[in-house]
Amino acid sequence: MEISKNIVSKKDLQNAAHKENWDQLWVILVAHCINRLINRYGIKTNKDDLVNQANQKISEVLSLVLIEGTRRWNTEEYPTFKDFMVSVIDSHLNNTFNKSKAIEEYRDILPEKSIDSGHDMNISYDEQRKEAYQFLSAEGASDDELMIFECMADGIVKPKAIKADLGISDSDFHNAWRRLKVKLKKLRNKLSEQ
Amino acid sequence: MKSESYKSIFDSFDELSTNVTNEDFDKAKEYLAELKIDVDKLSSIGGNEFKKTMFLAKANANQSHDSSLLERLKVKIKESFDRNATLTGEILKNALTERKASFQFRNLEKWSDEELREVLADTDLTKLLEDLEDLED
Repeated sequence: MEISKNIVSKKDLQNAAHKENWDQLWVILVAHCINRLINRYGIKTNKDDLVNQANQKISEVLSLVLIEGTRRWNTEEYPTFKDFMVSVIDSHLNNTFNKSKAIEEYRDILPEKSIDSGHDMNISYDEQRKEAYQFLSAEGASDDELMIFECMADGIVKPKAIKADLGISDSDFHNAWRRLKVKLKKLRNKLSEQ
Repeated sequence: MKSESYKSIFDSFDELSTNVTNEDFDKAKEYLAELKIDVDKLSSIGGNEFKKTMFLAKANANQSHDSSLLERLKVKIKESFDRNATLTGEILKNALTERKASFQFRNLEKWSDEELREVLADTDLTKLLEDLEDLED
């Protein structure tokens, strides 16, 4: 079997983990995990439960990565240790919530439909895009907000790539993103009420 | 990634939201603050969880190292006894504490790993293996 040269050995993986600031990385991973629990799996529960679930999942992922060594880090695919951990969390959550046994176990907190886009799926992506663009314009979205929206709608969903594509600074991106996020949430709520 | 991979415009929105959230510490803090989640408490959990995991990883590695060493020792002790019983007995007596030296080493191959582990506790397994290997020279 050919082993890619981009796969990091267990020892190097542990060394990379040692170099991380875990007080900060843990917070990033918890935020990511909670975001996934809410948006991807539609879990509706109180914040303490969300935090507990996130802490537990990340603890399990750490064990898979550093003790059992069952997750291999390909640096070409995931350049940083954080990227790698995020991908392992995603796959671990997928394993947890997409198995029928798990769905039974989590039935109390999972919604009836696992993924709730809050939108009529009969409308094509392009129509949704047009509708959303008109809504954002009517809400007075700035040029930066509209450009970020267009990138997002094109499937560019990495902040770094959007900043590079639009040639805007980190602070300009985040100021516009904060405002855009509020407007898109408003649109989502409006559509889900229809 | 092309737009075709998303069924809904809100799927791309969720993906971008997630990527912004995990971009760095400040963005993660901002997201958690929106949910009124205490970041300081999480930070201290993070440091402790990492230390705990590394401790377990080390203990795990030591145990598998000891198990393979123990297996090699068992084979080697038997070989050495067949070759030179007196000298092997001397080496084992020197390696072990007096209390344990009264054990009948000849039946060693019948011992379970746990029994062997107990007798050889506090013993430098690597050195004992080297001493037995020297006997062959």
